[in-house]
Amino acid sequence: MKRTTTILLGGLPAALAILCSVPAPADESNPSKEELTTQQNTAEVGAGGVSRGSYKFGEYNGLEDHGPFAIASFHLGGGGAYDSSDAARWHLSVTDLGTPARSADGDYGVQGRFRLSFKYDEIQHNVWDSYNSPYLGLGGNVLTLPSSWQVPLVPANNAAAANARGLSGAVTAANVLVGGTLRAPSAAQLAQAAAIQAADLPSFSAFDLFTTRNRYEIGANFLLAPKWELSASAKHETKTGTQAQSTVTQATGEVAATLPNPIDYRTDQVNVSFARRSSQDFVQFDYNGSIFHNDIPFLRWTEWADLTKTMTMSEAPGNQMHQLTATAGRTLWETTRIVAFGSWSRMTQDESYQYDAAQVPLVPVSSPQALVVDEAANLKISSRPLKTLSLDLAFKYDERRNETPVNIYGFYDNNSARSGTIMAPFAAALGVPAAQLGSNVNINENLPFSRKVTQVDADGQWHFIPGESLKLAYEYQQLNRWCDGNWYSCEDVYATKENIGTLEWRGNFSRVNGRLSYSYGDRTAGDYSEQAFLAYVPMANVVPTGATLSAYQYMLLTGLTGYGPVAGLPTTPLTGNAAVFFPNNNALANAEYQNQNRISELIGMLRYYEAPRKRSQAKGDVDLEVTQQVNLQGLVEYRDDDYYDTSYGLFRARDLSATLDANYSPTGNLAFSAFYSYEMNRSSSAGNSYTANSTATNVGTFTAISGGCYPTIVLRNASNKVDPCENWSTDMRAHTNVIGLTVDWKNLMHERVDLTAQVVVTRASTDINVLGGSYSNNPYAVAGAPAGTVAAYYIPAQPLPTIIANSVDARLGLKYRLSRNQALHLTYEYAQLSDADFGYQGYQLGGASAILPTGQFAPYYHVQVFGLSYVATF
Amino acid sequence: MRILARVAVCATFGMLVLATAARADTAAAPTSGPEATAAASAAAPAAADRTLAGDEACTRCHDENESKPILSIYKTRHGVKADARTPGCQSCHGASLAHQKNIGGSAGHRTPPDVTFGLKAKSDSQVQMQQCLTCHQGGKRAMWGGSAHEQQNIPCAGCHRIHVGADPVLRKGTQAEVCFDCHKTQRAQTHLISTHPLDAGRMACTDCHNPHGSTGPHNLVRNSVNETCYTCHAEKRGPFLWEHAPVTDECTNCHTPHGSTITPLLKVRVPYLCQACHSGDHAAAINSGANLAAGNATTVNGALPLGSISPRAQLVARACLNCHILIHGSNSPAGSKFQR
Repeated sequence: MKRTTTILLGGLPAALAILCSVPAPADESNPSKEELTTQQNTAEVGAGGVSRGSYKFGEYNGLEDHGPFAIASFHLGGGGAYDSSDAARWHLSVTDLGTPARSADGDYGVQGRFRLSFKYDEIQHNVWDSYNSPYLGLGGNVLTLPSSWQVPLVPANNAAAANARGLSGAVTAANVLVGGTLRAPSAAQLAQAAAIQAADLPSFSAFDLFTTRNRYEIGANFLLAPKWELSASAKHETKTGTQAQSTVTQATGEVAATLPNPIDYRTDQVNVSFARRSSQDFVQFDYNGSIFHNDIPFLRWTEWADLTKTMTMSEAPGNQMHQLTATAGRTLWETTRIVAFGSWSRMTQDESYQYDAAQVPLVPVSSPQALVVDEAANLKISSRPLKTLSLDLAFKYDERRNETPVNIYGFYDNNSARSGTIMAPFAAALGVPAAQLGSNVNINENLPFSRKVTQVDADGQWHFIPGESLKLAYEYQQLNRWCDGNWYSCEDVYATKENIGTLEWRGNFSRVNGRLSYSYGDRTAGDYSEQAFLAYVPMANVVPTGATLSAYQYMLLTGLTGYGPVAGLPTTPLTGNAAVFFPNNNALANAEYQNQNRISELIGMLRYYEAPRKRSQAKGDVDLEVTQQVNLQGLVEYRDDDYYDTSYGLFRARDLSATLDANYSPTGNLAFSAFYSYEMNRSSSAGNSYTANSTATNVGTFTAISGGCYPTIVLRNASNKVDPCENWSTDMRAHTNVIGLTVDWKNLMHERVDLTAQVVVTRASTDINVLGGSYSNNPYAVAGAPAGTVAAYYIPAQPLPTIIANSVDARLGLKYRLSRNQALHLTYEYAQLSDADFGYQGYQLGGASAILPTGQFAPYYHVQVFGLSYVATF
Repeated sequence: MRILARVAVCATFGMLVLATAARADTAAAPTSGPEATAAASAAAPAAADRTLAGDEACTRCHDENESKPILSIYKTRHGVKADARTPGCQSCHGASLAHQKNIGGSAGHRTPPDVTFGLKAKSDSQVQMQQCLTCHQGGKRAMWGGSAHEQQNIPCAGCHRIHVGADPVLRKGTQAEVCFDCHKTQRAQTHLISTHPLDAGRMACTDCHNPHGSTGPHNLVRNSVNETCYTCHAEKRGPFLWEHAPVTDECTNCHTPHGSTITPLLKVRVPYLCQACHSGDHAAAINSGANLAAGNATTVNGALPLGSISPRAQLVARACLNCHILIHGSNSPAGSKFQR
């Protein structure tokens, strides 16, 4: 390819120089009337080459492979002449035939009577070409490991526990800390590691992950009478291939692996529309149907960390959506228009459950019988009562009502098999024998989330003097969220209400147009419930063994949330219900609501999409016509979301963007344009990595802590839940700079050549600063260590490495007219991407102990693309 | 809700009263100038000759020698004269008698037609819009009145080029350039590392947005953000047995659709995105550079060798999504934690 590049780079300019020395053909002049008024056919054929294969460069454009590709597109059209009595017209277009991003469309119709159309669209989405996997059956939905596979270990560290880092020779050969002593691996440990690596590493093979989407569409449109129209269209879409899917296993320690998830989707969409339209009013009825079908119900795989187990993941279930809509509009007078809209939709999903029976002992129904009904209505009135005044009023209502039946399901976590026996009161409440369920079972209730939006918008715009106007807008939005059928209210906030006011000034002068606007919104959230998690866990409403109240009743009585008392270790041991539910003043004990994870949240954790918020937005833009040849445009936008009641979680988000555009057109044939865009997205969030209060006093007999808020282990452990040093905060700032330059030069060289050139340079970086820290036990603090050894260190947080994504994309297009109807088209593109992202550490050999390495790396490329084609117009 | 309904009813009533009162004012409003002529043309359709003979009043001068391809309109649907609905030049531009005879103009500055089109045209944008809406009622224009673009006084010809054979805004490959003339922040975002295939020309802005106004937010083609996303991402529609509340609420709680520095189109990087809402169990833990493979060595007292030799799984690769793998919803009876 390097040689090809050299030939192209050297030869093409020479060829062009020769061609350009040829005088313009005699027929070069203004296009004829016939040319202007008759459908023109065009055909383009040629070839191109890609210097280097890159999945990321070819992510969507079909040019992921190194080597040549064909350029082939054509457009054919015909029908009656514009001035004839024949209203028939047709066209057929095909583009990018030589790549996997080809498309075609066509139609035939007699204008004023009917039109039939079709479309075909194909797109390949390249996901990864740096993926490797030891699994057999890649591309299918049952994946196994080769018989030679051995569970990876780091023998010097632990001869039994699966550890994906054991696949790295560098890791297994490194010294390890055992019992407070740094030791080199023994010969036997090295041999064991080498044997595992020799067995496993050859099993890894590269596998490209991509999907192909094919979309077929047909449409028909009939004008039944001058005002009546019937339209129908149907779309069939298939999506096949593989996507990267992380999976988690049942093995102890909950380890993960990215697997190729086979995709075999079919989506059929139908739209039928019946409308009556006149110059004053219209009414329209629509039916929209969408049926999604997934031919792969599950993904099942052998676990890399425990060959005795397989795991099943449920795939996206097939589902249907049917929607009826009615829209009507009427011009009441010349100045006022009213439009009303209503829709009713029904979404269903009833795919059979796919699961591993041993892991899911409580399944009351075999499918969810999921049903969502959506009802929406809109009413809009827009009026221009005076030439200088415009008024708009809109009312919107949209209710998504989830009517899926609520059931109770029981399952074991990924990293645990059944053990023990569930508490008798829980078994009784569930109506199952106590021996049926282990004490480590999760008992959860599905939450059918419903949502309703009610919104009113009122806008007024007054042109107070010619060229200037003021706009005043008010918006009220109320959002209700709820679940039907759960034992406890599932919503954090039932109703959020937001009032938004906007003031905007616009000026439209002879050479300058501009706009300034400011908007302020205040969202209130009523009483935020920190108890909504209870809806998941119905056993919180059952009195557990050893208590006299249920967890819910006890919290109701004491006013506590699932976080429990904001307190350290009690001075005297707790008794009764307090000892059952909040032992040592810790968070609500998982066992008391039969769930294996603590799902209560910190007090003050308000979820940002429903938390109280003050939003300020300012925007300004200007369009300045400096001269007839020079135009400047500027735009600045700023948004500040302040979640003022939030202590934990996202508490503030700010976005700033600014753009400057300059356009210079010295002649009608030459234009330069340049732009610079800057964007900053900043988000600030906070958390607390509290742990349970405990009575532990030492680490390996040692007691001193270096750093942190407490000098000794005993003092820290007594305050594990309320240690201020466990507070942390993050400040994430993403900066993007995009610069673009474009030159458009027409009719060069005896009006034979049109030239376009474009360069876009992107520089993006993300900095994540973290404040706070965490405690870490000193691995040297073991029995026998010297006196004065530190028991634990407080490790201050460190900023994350800057994430960088820089790209350059330069495109050159040159059109050389051989004659009025023939041209050569030369294209050249240089594209470069470099990306640095610490997240990829987790995919590498020797990376993370709990993640099977796949070798995926951050995308980068340097690609050149050439194309030369012949274009004929006829 | 009751108060809201009252406000809505009162406001509606008030607007109707105001509009009614303004009828007389409007009827008498334009007495001269191009708008007046246009209004007269609309009131008396006979003045607008839509036949070829009528067009000849224009094409006598605006012929094939025009620098702009005026005659190319005959390649388009607006030029099929065999269709009785097809407009003539004067249907849209008005009879334009003053323009034809250059009444009030000079040799260098001819009196413009009654109605001219475009963002910088002399004619009021509302007049321009009305000329188009005379025929193009309903359909995708049903919600035009009071829509964002209508309120900004952007006339149809601000985006559409009526006289060219192929209107760039109606073609997938060229449409975005038209939209980016104004939407410049979105133009920059399409060049970021994670985008929809807009820059590749495989998707059009109108796949998601209806620039003529809609019942959804941000001029989206459907009633809501999620309904719009599901037109292509039907596999995420569910309804799932286990729904994830912010997903059901709105896709844009987590995603930013035009482009992001964080794949796939995320607003904030995981795990911080998850920790914006979750503080229980292992979501409580801090994730900093100290939790990376090479970042754990520094303590307040100096080096701590081999503390955490493996990076925290919640921080690398897919972070939280390494294990909570079906974050858009799960249909497994064991899927309440989105792990199966």
